[in-house]
Amino acid sequence: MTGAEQAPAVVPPVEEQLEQILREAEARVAELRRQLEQHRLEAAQHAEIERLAEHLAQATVRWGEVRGFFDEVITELRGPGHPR
Amino acid sequence: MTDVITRTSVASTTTTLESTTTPESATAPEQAPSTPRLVSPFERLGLRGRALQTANWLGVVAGVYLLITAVNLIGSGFKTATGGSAETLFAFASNPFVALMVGILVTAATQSSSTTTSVTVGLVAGGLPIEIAIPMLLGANIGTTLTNTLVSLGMVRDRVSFRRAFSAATVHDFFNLIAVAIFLPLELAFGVLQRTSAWVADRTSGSDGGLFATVFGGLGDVISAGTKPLSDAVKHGTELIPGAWHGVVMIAIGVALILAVINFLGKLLKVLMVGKAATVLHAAIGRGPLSGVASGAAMTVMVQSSSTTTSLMIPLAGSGAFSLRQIYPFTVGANIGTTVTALIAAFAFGGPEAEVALQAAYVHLLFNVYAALVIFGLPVIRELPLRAATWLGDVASVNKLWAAAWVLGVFVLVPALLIVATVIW
Repeated sequence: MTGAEQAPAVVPPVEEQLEQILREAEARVAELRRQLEQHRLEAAQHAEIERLAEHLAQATVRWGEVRGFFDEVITELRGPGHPR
Repeated sequence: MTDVITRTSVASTTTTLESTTTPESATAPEQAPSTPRLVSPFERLGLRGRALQTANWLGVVAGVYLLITAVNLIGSGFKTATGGSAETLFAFASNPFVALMVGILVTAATQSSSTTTSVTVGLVAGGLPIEIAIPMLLGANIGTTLTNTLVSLGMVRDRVSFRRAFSAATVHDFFNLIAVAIFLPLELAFGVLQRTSAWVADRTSGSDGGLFATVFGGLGDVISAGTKPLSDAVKHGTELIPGAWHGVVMIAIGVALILAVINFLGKLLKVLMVGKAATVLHAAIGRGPLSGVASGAAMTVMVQSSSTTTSLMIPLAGSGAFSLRQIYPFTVGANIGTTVTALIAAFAFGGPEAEVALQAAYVHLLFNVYAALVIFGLPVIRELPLRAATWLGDVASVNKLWAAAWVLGVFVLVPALLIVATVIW
């Protein structure tokens, strides 16, 4: 068997190997991005929990705001161009 | 692929949070003066540091004592008022749908399902038939969802935040409405809750239910013996009031006391438990829905109020930090956690009264556990509250009239009209 006949048989495995490495790298990058996003989200959630005392202090009905909401609804109903 | 990212340390964040709740740090110069903070009622008396901490815990003990006394007072008052014919007094609520609406309206008005369930436990011990009490307890579950819905209305100025917040609030509404839609017919047809709660109450009270019942019954007898003197003192102090009005006044004092005590306990427990609650919530982040249910239940037991825990979720959802899918299991857990108050209230009674009082408390617990198992356990039904809340949040953020119609319709108009219609016809 000549060298010219052997060459096509050798090259594709290298390309395939490189493509395989590239696919794995891309998959790993995608996974790292997903983990990074998840980490950022969880960090934001931990940060919100850090403010739990503040959130708990605010976790009550503020009747002024409820009244303001219904005032807005009534204004929208009376005014032109409702809803919105 | 291995997890290459290390999670944020929880322990350090918890310590920081606890320190922010102490009076010293709360008044520190670096804290913005406008930042709201938790304030113990005793702090206004000038107490600080260890003295304040001790006063807070003593306040909790006194609050629980008064709660149990008030429930006992309601039971005695109801007996005095009805003279053994409780069915006649509550004849208007013999229709289960009316009893359900009474539960919704009373809870919506008091913004506390713990108040409704504690009062119901007292009434059942005083002779209210459990068949009438069960729909009232189910109604308490719906009524309590009003609080976080009202809290979400405060975010109306920012459309995106309001959409998220209103969905987070109404996922609780839809879950509890679906729960009642499933279990009220089952109760009317087969007495599911009445039978199972009677069975559990029988096993956990009295002296013939084994070691657990003996310990539980003995504990109940000791607690009721401790709270009875104050209850009797109020009873004797109001003896001059004639006839049934004597009982009515006792019930009114009991209800007023429960309302005040639950409010007082809520304030103290928020201050005392904020650190532990934060630890529980930090630990639940990044885990599955079951952790969400567990953390919701644990936090509600700590602060003794599902309204507080579900309202807490509104700003967390509104900011976008937590998704609706993450909030949902937390609210399911809050439903279960809030049932502890009625169980504590049941300790107000001894002997045969204790068994029926416990049965009423178990009805609330079992209903919420069954609802979690059936609705949250079955994938097809599990998605319904999420889809409904997402849809309602979307339409309400575009047209506020939807939100107004939901709040007024579900919590005021429909219950009131149903009661009026039943009374007239």
